[in-house]
Amino acid sequence: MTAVLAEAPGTAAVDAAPSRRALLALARVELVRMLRHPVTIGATVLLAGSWVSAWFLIETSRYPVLQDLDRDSAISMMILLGGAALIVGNLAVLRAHRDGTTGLSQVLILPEYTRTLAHLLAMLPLALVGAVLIVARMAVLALYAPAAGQPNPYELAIGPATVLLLGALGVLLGRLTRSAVVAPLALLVLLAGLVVLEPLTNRGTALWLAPQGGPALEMPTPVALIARPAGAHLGYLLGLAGLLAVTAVLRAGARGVRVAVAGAVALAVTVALGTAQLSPPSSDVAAARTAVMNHPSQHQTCQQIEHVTYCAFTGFSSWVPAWNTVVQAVVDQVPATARSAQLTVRQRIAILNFDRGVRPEQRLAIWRADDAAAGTPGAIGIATRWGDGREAAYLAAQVAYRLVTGQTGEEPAGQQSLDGATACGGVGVLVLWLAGQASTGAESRLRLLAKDARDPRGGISFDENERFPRVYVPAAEFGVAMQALARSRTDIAARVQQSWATLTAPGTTAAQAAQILGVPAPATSTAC
Amino acid sequence: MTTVRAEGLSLRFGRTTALEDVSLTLHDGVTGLLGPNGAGKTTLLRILATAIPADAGQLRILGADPGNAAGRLAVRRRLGYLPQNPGFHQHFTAFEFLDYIAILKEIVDGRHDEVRRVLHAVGLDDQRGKKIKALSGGMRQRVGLAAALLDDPALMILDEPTVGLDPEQRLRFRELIAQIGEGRTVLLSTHQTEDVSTVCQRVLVLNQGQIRFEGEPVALAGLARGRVWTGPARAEGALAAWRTGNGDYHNIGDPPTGARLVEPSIEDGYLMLIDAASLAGSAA
Repeated sequence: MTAVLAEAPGTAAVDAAPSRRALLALARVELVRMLRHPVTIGATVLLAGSWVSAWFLIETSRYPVLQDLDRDSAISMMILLGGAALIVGNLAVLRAHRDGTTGLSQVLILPEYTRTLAHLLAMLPLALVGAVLIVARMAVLALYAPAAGQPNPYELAIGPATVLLLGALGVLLGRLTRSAVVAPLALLVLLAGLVVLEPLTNRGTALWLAPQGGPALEMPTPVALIARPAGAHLGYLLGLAGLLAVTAVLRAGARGVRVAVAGAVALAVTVALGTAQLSPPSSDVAAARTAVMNHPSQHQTCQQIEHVTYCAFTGFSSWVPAWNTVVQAVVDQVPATARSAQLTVRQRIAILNFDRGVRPEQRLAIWRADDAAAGTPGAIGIATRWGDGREAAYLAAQVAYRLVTGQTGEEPAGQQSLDGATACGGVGVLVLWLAGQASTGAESRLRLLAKDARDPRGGISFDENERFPRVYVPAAEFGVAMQALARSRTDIAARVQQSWATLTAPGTTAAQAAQILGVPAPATSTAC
Repeated sequence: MTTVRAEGLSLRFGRTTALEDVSLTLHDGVTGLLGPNGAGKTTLLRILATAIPADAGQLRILGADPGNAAGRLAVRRRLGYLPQNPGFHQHFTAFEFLDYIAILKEIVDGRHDEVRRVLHAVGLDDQRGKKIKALSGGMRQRVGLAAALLDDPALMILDEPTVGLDPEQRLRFRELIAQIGEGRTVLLSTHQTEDVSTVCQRVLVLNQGQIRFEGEPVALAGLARGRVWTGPARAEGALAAWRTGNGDYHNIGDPPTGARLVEPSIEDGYLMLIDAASLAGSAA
């Protein structure tokens, strides 16, 4: 054996703490690679693309309700950007294993837990990308669309938080198993959960324990009534992400007081806020909901345009011009002598979850009383959704019915049928034609309405607040009106003006109306 | 200067003895590590690279004890390691890969300059922007060597870096290793005795988990002195014999009377050292 003459000097004091700068440098490199990964780019393009395409493909997207859209945006972000974070985070952790570089990387200085920490840190800018996207979407809609309401900052942050959560899950899975198949499988499980959890939990509060949070209300409501525990849910998600992160670094070999403290804090936040979010809305919120439902007039601002008064909840006034366009399109086709009636269009909410124990006829009576108290008896109800043509058809039909029949909507509550009024013969044809010509695409919308919400009586029914049928038109009259709508609007409008008195006379049949309008008579007639 | 001192290293994998009572000393300069497949070369290198611990024995590397975390870290800070089949992140460019490794080596200040330096040292300046998957096998090996060179390590452990290289690439690699060996300790595991004869100042021969030789390459060749000869026919009973380019047979073994003895090479000495029976078995 060779004698040892001199030995290389050892390192007297080794700095065992990993370099924070190396950690940040690695996080930066990982971030760039994650952002450039085809999965991330694809998910981002899909996310932005789905939002942009919704503008063109989903009519209600052009009249967004921002306090609902924030939640919807968070869910799509969780699925796409969160899913991408899950996969690219997992692939980053498994990179050395997948590329066979563990032989080298295991003897490099930076400890495994620091590398894991870098992977986790790289998720923060990914979540920031999500935040920028969601804020940009809201800003564009708020600026360039007749948007209603306002988003909740906590709801806006939930989307990016889910990106963090799923990213941390991807990193943890990479630390638990070396298979790159596990992360996509986890994503599939998550997607399946999105589908099955709502029915499984019966849309109950337990759904808040899932990343997407509790269910949305069945209809948009003013901001003050939503009362979703978005802040608690956001904290719960961040706590959960923290727990996953701490587990991942523990699995990677991290030990010490700081890890223990971080784990304890994450656990405490998760448990505390996870529990807090399950509490039902306070009695104040319940009272406010009842008040707004029963007395909408006390929570609205009204504006008059010509002979029509429009009353909208706070935040929904931006839709008044769109309502007025539909109403005026009906009014314009009515002879001046029939326009004298003063109309009021009042926004109302009727949410079954808030309305337990109140029968439909009671609900209608309560609203009539509120209208009377507000000095706008017989107001036409309109819901808190707009844009897909359905509400426009409902509104136009109710306005048309009032103008054609001269009714004021002030009938005593006892006389109000739950099935609404039936418009027969010339009246029915005229109401439908007026409603159908009031907005573009209304004819096809009416056909869809008749098909989708098929009334057992065979005709078409127009609801108030999507829940209470107000005007019913039988099938024969529907057929005549559809044929009239297919003809030249100018020609039919002239015939309507000329024969208004005949068409609106109670005895005029659908066949006679068809003859007046110059369209084929119906094969069958309706007995009203 | 001694950089590595091992005394009685042993390691078992289950019932298999990978290393048994290995003692060695490494100094500045290039030391070759020769041995047949399964001799324990890679296991020894992995122990020296702090990738795995030995079951028994004493080890000091660069003055530190890799048996504890602080010592291991101290060694790793001054170590360059090129494993056998190193593997690369194929979608990284050469620069990105080295930058990534540099971060894992905690090189922070002037990291990009350091990456450029090692790329230049291995002659890959003009390939820095190419994805690793687009590089030839030789170029990839040079990227691996560049990774080992990061932060100018005092000890470099290279596990069969010339495997799979064509003759020109192998020559260039030897040239590189020779340069690298100036002023630092390099342990070069190889199957190529030519690698040892051209660049190594010392050589270790490992067989069946034990060090069989430690010394200068000339001394290894000297083990076969007087037992290597050429003749017109294959000698019966020779440890090894093969026909050379000029038609004569190169024989290693006891020469017949009047045989034309030739100067032995390192290869001859190595073959003499390895178990003759196993050689005969592999030849058959």
